Amino acid sequence: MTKYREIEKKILEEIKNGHYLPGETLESERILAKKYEVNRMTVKHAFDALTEKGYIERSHGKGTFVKKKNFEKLDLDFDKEDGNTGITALVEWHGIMISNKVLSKGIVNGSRYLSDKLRIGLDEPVFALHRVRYGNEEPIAVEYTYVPSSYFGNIGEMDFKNVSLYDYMASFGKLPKKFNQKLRLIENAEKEAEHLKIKKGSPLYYFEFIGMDGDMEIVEYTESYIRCDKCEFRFTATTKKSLV
Amino acid sequence: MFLSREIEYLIENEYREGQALPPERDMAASFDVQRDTLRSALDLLEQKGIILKRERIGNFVAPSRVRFDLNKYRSTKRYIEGVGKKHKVILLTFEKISIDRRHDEDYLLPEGTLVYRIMRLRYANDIPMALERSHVLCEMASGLNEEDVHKKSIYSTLKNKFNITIANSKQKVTVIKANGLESELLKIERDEPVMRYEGIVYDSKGCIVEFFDNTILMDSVEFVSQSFV
Repeated sequence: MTKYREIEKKILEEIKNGHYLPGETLESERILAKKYEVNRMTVKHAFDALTEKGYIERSHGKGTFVKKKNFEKLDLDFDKEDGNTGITALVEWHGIMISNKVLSKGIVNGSRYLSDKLRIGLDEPVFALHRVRYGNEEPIAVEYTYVPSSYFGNIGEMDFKNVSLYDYMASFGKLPKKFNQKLRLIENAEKEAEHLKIKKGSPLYYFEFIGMDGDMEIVEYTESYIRCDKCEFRFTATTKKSLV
Repeated sequence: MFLSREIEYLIENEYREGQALPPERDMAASFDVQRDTLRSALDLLEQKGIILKRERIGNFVAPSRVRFDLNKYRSTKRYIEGVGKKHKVILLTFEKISIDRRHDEDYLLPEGTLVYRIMRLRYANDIPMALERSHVLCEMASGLNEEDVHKKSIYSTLKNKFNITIANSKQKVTVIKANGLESELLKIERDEPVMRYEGIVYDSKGCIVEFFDNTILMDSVEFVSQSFV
């Protein structure tokens, strides 16, 4: 490994282990050169490489600092080892504050589309909850969630700005445990763009899922429009049978 | 909003891809809504990629997306054929290189690792859909050659010729802007947003067999999965 790669790796480790936090200024090239006992050009090369990879940013007169954006990305994993409990759990896990704005809520009757997704009768009421989800006070996703309201007693009165929907569902023993999910990339719709403060026509993740409880009853249908610049989707595919 | 879902339900259940929807006047009448209401519902469906609007001609059900099922793990060819589309793949380059790690930060391979770099262009119904860059580790598949990957699934070659069984892969989906090469091959504008689909593929012993990064047209694919908490 060349000398500057070594320095690059060392600095990157310091970023990853939190010694340098997002937004924090790094020591000057001169000081780092002294610290690592290398030539100043070597540190410059390492900085160049880290800049190119998007870990750090340089600003004339202000110095070099750890880039924020990369570290605010929220992972919305499909299959995490400790399970998929939706956006809230993941965000907490990453130490990012999530908050909600309820756009609208209420009972929907007679929607063929929703009763089909939830596998309930056309005459059964559906509770709709439309929210904007924020991470560190920046809008990240617009979520349209539908649950069969017959499972839940006072759902219409719940304050979902402050109460997590999943905590509420869990209190009725109806926490989704198994998910059927669908992920697409779409051009955003005008309304979502407005909520998410992005340009109309820019891409969005469209993430749709059906959640089932332990008895395999469908307890939730959600359509989520998620900003591409704030999140990334990761998942693991496993094959039990051999390929082809 | 609810009207668009009802139309979507209708499309899912009674229409096939490419089929024309009834004239807007008739649709508005059958859903008992104003033309404007119907139009905004159709706009929503267009943005969601469910329908295509063609000026003065009418509205059509959008072509179906190639559906990758993360629980099944099949060859791309089978996924493309799975939605009734004609499959074609063209080998663009095949070379043996040593990776310089410039772009391989996540792949945990030491600098200088030798890989076969395979670049292919994937078509569905004769329309370019994805530019695929696959890197197969030389030590896993020593002697892999152009013939092995020309018009064949890389995975079936790995299995049949090298007896490698793929066990799992870690994958990531993000959005990037198409660069010059990507826009040229996929016949889109430069800087247009495209899907970047990348992953690391492991064999049953947990060794890295391959890593890939594919650039895919945004509206051509979808991923589905079933997961347990």
